[in-house]
Order: sequence, then C-alpha cells, then structure tokens
Amino acid sequence: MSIFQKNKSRRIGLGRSVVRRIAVAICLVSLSVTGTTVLAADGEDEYVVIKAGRVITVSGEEFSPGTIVIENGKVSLVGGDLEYPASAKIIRAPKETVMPGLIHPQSRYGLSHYKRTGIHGDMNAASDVYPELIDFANLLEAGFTTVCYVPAGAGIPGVATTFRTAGTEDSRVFDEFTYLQVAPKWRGVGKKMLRDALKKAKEEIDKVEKAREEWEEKQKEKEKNTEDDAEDEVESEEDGDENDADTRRSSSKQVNPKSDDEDGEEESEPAKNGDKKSEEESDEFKPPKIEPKYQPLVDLIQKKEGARMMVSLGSAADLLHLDDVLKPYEEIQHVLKLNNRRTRTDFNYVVEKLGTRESMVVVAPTLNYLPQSTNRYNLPAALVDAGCRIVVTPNSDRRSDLIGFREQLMSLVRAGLVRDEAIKAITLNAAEAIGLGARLGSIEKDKDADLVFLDGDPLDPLAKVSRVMILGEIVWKADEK
Amino acid sequence: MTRIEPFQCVASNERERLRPSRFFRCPFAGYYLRRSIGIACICLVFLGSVNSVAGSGPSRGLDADEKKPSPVAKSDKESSEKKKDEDEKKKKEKEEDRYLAVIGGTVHTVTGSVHHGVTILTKNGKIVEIAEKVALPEGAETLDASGNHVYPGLVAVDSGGLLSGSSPGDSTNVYSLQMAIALAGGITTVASGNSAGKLTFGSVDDLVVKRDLFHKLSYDAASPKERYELRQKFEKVRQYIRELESYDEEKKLDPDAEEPDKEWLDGEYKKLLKLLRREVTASIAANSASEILAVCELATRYGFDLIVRGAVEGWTVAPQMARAGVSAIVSPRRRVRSDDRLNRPNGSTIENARIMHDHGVPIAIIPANTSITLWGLAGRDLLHLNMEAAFAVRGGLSDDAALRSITIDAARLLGIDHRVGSIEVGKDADFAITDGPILHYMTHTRWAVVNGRIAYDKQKDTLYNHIRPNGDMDAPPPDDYWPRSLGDSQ
Repeated sequence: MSIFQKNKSRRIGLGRSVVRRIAVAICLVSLSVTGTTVLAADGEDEYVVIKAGRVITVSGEEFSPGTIVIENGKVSLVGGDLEYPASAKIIRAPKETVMPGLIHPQSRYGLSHYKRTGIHGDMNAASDVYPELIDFANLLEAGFTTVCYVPAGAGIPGVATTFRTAGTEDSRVFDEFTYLQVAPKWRGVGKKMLRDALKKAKEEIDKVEKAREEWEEKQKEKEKNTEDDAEDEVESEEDGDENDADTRRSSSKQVNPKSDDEDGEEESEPAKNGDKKSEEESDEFKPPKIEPKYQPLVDLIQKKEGARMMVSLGSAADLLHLDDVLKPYEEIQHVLKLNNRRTRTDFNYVVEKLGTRESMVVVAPTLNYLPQSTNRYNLPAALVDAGCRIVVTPNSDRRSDLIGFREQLMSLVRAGLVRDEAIKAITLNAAEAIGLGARLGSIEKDKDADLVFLDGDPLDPLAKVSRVMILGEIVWKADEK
Repeated sequence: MTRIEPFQCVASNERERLRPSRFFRCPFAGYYLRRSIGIACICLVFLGSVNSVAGSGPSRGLDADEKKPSPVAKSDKESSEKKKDEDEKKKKEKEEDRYLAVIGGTVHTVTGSVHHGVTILTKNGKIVEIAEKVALPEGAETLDASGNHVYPGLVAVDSGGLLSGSSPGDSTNVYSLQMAIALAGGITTVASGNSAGKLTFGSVDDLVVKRDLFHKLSYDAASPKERYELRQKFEKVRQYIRELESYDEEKKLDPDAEEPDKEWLDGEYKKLLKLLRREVTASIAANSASEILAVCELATRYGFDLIVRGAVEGWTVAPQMARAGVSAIVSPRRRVRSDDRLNRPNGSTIENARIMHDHGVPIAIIPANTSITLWGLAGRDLLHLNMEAAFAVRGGLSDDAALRSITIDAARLLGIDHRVGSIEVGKDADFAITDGPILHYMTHTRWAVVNGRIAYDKQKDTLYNHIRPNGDMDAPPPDDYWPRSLGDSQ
C-alpha cells in the first residue's frame, strides 16, 4: 500500500476554490488589457499552452477560441487570448474542443468478476488493480481521464480507489480511500446487514469512549495519590489536561488511518512536556483497537473529513429503507447510485424527495419507462428539475457503452436534460461526488490538467476524442491508435 | 377466540385532550364558563346530560366505549408503561403531528352502527375522533368523502407477493404494483408468511403489525405415523405441564422438591408448550369432514386455539366445529366435487360460510388464490377479496357477517383486532373509501388510507382512473380504449 501517494490537497474546501475562481477572473481582466505580450519564463517551471478552437471550462464561461496555460501539470490560466512564457510548449488545436477529462465514478474496467459478500471495510479496490496490466485504451478513447475502481460484491465490499487512466507510476493512484462502497441486497437481508454493521461500528466508538473514560478516572486517582504540595498539584492538573488533549488527538489518529500526514507534529508534542511526567507517559492512553472492517463506518458516523459512502439503490423503496436505517445516525454523508439501467424503474416515486434534499445522485444514461407503462421517463432530467445534482456513469464497462457514452448522454439531452447539466454530470459533479472537486472536473486555476480534446462538440455523436492529456502531457492520440 | 380489546390506552388520552373542543361547541358552555366556577360546575353537569343525549343519536355510536372504565393505571407497572407511552408521544408531538380528516362519508364502523355524514379525525395514524362536527386542528389534511362509503381497511388473512417473506419491515417493496392493486381492492392489512403487516404504499413506517402469528401444524390423514407422533408430542408436553403444576405445589411444602426434567423441551416441543398455554394459535389445513373432525378432536383433547384453513366440508360438521371452539378460513367459491359413494353430505357448497357462521364458528374469508395474479383464476385472486365475501352473501350469509369476515373477524383471527378491522377511536386509521357498498360488483375503491396516509387514490393512480371517473356510474366507457398508457400519469 505504501506505493500510493497520499493526497493532501483533497481536503481543500469548496470555499477556497471559489476564492480562486474570483482570483482567476481578476487575472483575466487585468491580462486582457496587456494583450498577448509574451513573458519570459522563470526558472525551471514547465509550461504547456493549449491554443484550442474552443475551451469548455464547465465551471465558468466558454472560450472560443480559448487558451489554457498549464504550469507543472496544473492549470494556471484559462481565457480567450492570454500571455504565456516564451519557453512554453505550445499545443495548437485550432479545430478542437478542449474540456475536462471525463470521470468514471464507479467502474470495474479490466478487473475480474470476483465478488465478495458481507462487510469488508478493510478491503480496498486498489488491491485488485494493477494499472500496468490493464489496457486503458477504451477508457481513453472514450475520453475518461479518471476512473474510480470499486470492490465488487453485495453488502459492504470495501473502499473504492481512484486512478488516472494514464500517466507515470507515481501519479497513477489519485486517491486511495475515495468512498465506501455500499451495495446491500435490498430485496433480501441487505437492510438488516447494513443496520447491524452500523450498530457494530457505533459499539466500536462506544468502546473507545468507555476506555478513555476509565483511563481518565485512573489518571485522576493517580494525581490524587501523588499530590504532595499545592504547587505540584496545580502543575500536575495542567499536565493532565494536556495529556488528555494529546490522547484525544492520538486516538483520532488511530481511528482515521488517513490522517497520518499530521503524525510528525503530534509525536513531537508529547516530547515537549515529556520530561516532566516520564512516569505518566508509560501508561499513556491506548485506545482499544477498532475492528478494521468497521473502520470506514466508524469514520462515517464520526463525520471524519473525507469519509463518504456511495449507496446503490435498486428501486424507489430502497431509498425509504435506507432512510430508515440511517435515521439514528444524523446525516451520514452519502452519494446515491440509482441502478436505473433496466429501462423500467420506479425511481419516479422518490424524485421529489431526492430533490428537496438536493442529493448528489449517480445514474446511468438510460431513458427509462414509467413502471408498467409505455411512457418514457427521463430520470436524469427529472432529478435535475427536482433540484438534485446528477452524475452520469456509463451503463457498463464494455467498449460499446464507453465509446457510446457521450451519445447516450446526448439522447438524454435531446429528451429534456439541460445541456450544461449533462456536461457537469460527467465532469465537475462526478469529481465532487467522489470528493475530488478541488482537483478535477473543470478547467480552473490550480486544478490538474487532465483534459480531453474532441474534434467537435462533446454531445455530438459524430465527434471523436482526438487527444487525451493527463497532468499537462498528451498521453493518447487518436491517430496513433 | 374472545379477546379483551385493549385499544383504549391511547384513545382515552386523546379524547380527554380533545374534549374541551366539545365544550365550546355547546352554545351555553362559553357563556356559563365566563361567569363563575360555580355556574361552570352546573354547566358541566348540564353538559354531561347533553352528551348522554347525544350519545343515543346516530353520530356517536362509540359512546359504549367511552362508558367503559377507563384503563387508568391499575398497578405501578402499568402506570410506568403509560408514562413511557406518554414520553414517546411527547417526542412524537415535537416531531410534528400528522392529521388527516375524512369528512362527510357514510361510515361503516363494522363493530358499531353506520353513520351518515360524519367526520373521522386521525392523528399520527390513529383515529382520535368520530363525530358530526369536529374542530379540525391547524394544518390538518382533509379528504372529502361525501357521497362515498368509508369502511375499515380490509384484512386479508393470507397473501403472497405483497410483503416480503421473512422480514416485511426490511425488504418490502413499498412501491410495487401488487401493493397498489391490493390497495385498489380495499385491502390495507395482510398476513404474509407468519407476520401481519400494512400495505404502506410509499412509506416504510409502521409496516409490521405483528410477528409470529400462528404455529402451523400438519395433521394429514395420509400419514397416520405423523399424526401419531404429533399426538405423542402433545402428550409429553401435557404431562410436563401437569408435573410442573404439581412441582409448584410441592415446592410450597418441600423446598428441596425436584424440578421436572426439561432438557428435552426445545424446538417443536417449546412451540407446543406455548400452544397448550394458549400463548399462540395453531393453524392446520383441513378440508374434508373427517380431517376437520380429527383436528377438532385434537384441539379439544389438548386444549389449544385452532384455526382450520380451508374447511371445504365445514358445513357438514359445523356443530362439532363450534363446540370445539375453532375458527375457520374459508373460500366460498372453492369447488370440491361431491362423492356419491359416501353415505353423508359431502363436497363444497356456496352455503359453507353461512352454515358455519350460523353455528357460531368465527370465519374469515379469503380468495382461493392469495396473490395478485391472473394465472387461470381471473377474479379469484386477492384483488377480489370483497367479491369472495360477496359470494358468501350469495350463499346466504348476511351482508354484515360477510363484511365482518374480511375486516374485524379476520383481524381477530390474526390477533390484531385491537389495531385494525373496525373504525373506532384509538384504532389505526386504515380506511377503504369506496364509491358504493363494498360487496357490490361495481364498487371501486376511491381512496385507501393506511396509517393516516392516503396510500391509494383512484383518480391519481392510473389503474382504474378511466373507469367511471368521479364515481359517475352512468359515465360511458373511455373511447381511447387501447393502447392506453398505464403507470404514472405525471
């Protein structure tokens, strides 16, 4: 697991990106005055400039023609006509449309059909994935730059991992702990399983709490025993408080294996006041171990930052059952995956409910029928109208579904889905659904330069992906297939 | 199968809360109350008499319940339980009360009389008031049922494909077509597997009503060995109960008395023990006269509550069944050819339900097929529960008894008559609101209300909305006959 790079900037909030957006806008305004004077490059920074016929930024306005300046694999500027360093490598694409790379939020592309059932929060999809053994050509040809692999199976089969579809070995793994895959068998014992799993996770939390309380009591008793004079007493009390704080932090570290970036700081802290109480340090609070397979659920219940789950629903009734299970655990963050692949689904019954919650919903690009009817129902469009944010994911990992993905999406647009929402559904919303909204999904300053070049409009069924760029480098070209 | 009906617990509280509204309705009350406490007292007395007079009127058929001694805490245990209930209620109130008022229909209470143009007020899924004029709380949802008939939701004592088998609360598809069709048939409560549940279309709250309904036994004439073994088991359990009783007596005299061995008492034996202690009810399928007599004999010999499923030849042995105190689940349209070689009445008859009912056998009616299906049995599936009861009427059963057999009597068989089966204050707000008498072949369910929520609306659901819209019996059939768009009309 150590080969996976930890992703630190994942936790950048949305607020900051908004600030950035404003900053970009200010830059653009100021630069438009200066015109196209070419600046001198500074130092060793690597610049790539794309001069495209059209740039779809997704988050902001479209530029036609448009220029994207990429600095060290990240977008630094985007606009109509920009200045850029003289040393920059220029990619000319006057007839092409550039848009953010597509994101596949739930895939098993190129993996075996091995399935496991039950609760496996300790399992990670990354353990199945060997990127160098998978031919990503189909995904690249379809315009996907990011793919989120999920563990297969019913129940809680494990944690999903996000990969890039190309790039160097170091940059391949995007995010190891993307979300917890939850796919209960709703028509069978699924609800009971999920309820029991959450209950067990809650018990694990209580176990740690109880152990801490006991430890604190012990600590107090000790302090009482060792008190000699008034001065000492005051000091030791202070120590005790600090100690508590430390242990709280260290326990959270134990609870969340992801947060080890902060390890260094924490370990240094007890050392500062360690000389005073070398005695006490020996029996520092050690929280009881949480069963690893419930760890992701524990994180979810405690609302750890970055903890999220994606719950698969087979029919409308499953949402009610899910709500019933989650009721005691206030607002566990979750993304819903509606399995509307079969043409007849009854999700129409809960569209309004989802809309009032402004849920993030993952759907397949299927034009459904209403239950027991011959009436067409555009579920994605209905969800958008109701107030949801939607993510559209390919029907399957077959080549035909990947290559035909944009065409299927287009058919939804033709049937009433708002065009901009359709583009968002495969880029920005998808990125936000898997918690990578700060790094992917749109062409903005400081976002990764994972881009797709098309020889036409993305929703034109005849348009083909001509080039794919990952971190500022062209990794795939249509004519070199 | 007589049970005390403990439904007043919630009801009486509710009524006490709501009673002041009646004071203010009295034209004199407000006047006197403003005067002095003394006059107010007189006023109360006066009001009491007004109330009792009103009680004899048709709008207050439920006074009999009110006159019952209110089940105020008799012991500490009860009061603590009540406190708990109150606490829970307070919590619920905080969440937001949900009111639904069904206004102006002809209300068939089943256990009481029929009232015309009364209003039923329900709160959080329970009936809280039935009166001609009800002060509606703010934000109450109203349902204008004038011109329609309000029945308690029908109870199906068996079903398939509506609730999911082992754990209905966990995996039932509450948006299924079957559920909508069953609601369109006026059914709101069904037994499925060994639990009873509501057809809560669009909600999973309060779905399960009761678990472990019956202990199903097999007492098949074709396998005498099995019969013998079952009798032996009963014998053993009965012996154990006797030993236990004598042990209890002995213990009083001799503290070292030996407890009867109970290591063997598990699995099937444990269930039989429950049965003999009358904690559960047995259900045995028996159709021929000899089978019915055999199971009746078994029930009387060992003393347990029994429901006979089928009972096709029940009409030939109805007196014996009545004496044994068994109940029966029958399908009036079921056909079994009579055998002329037998020197006794045999085979099926449409009069079966009537004859058994006349002899005092409690009956519940269920169609031959208990699913929503058309597999060669068109019109004889669960969709036509009311029609099945109507066929019993054709065989001589009274309308009233036929209605009871698919409402309160069916609920009593399932042991859930304290919650469903009739329209009474304190019971669940489950109604089948129909555009005609429920046993009539033209009648459609206009609305089905389950737990105080409208679960089916004929005008909104496209199953039947084109047939006699708005209950207009003379409306011509729709001209866009086929192909028509089923499903949601949005």
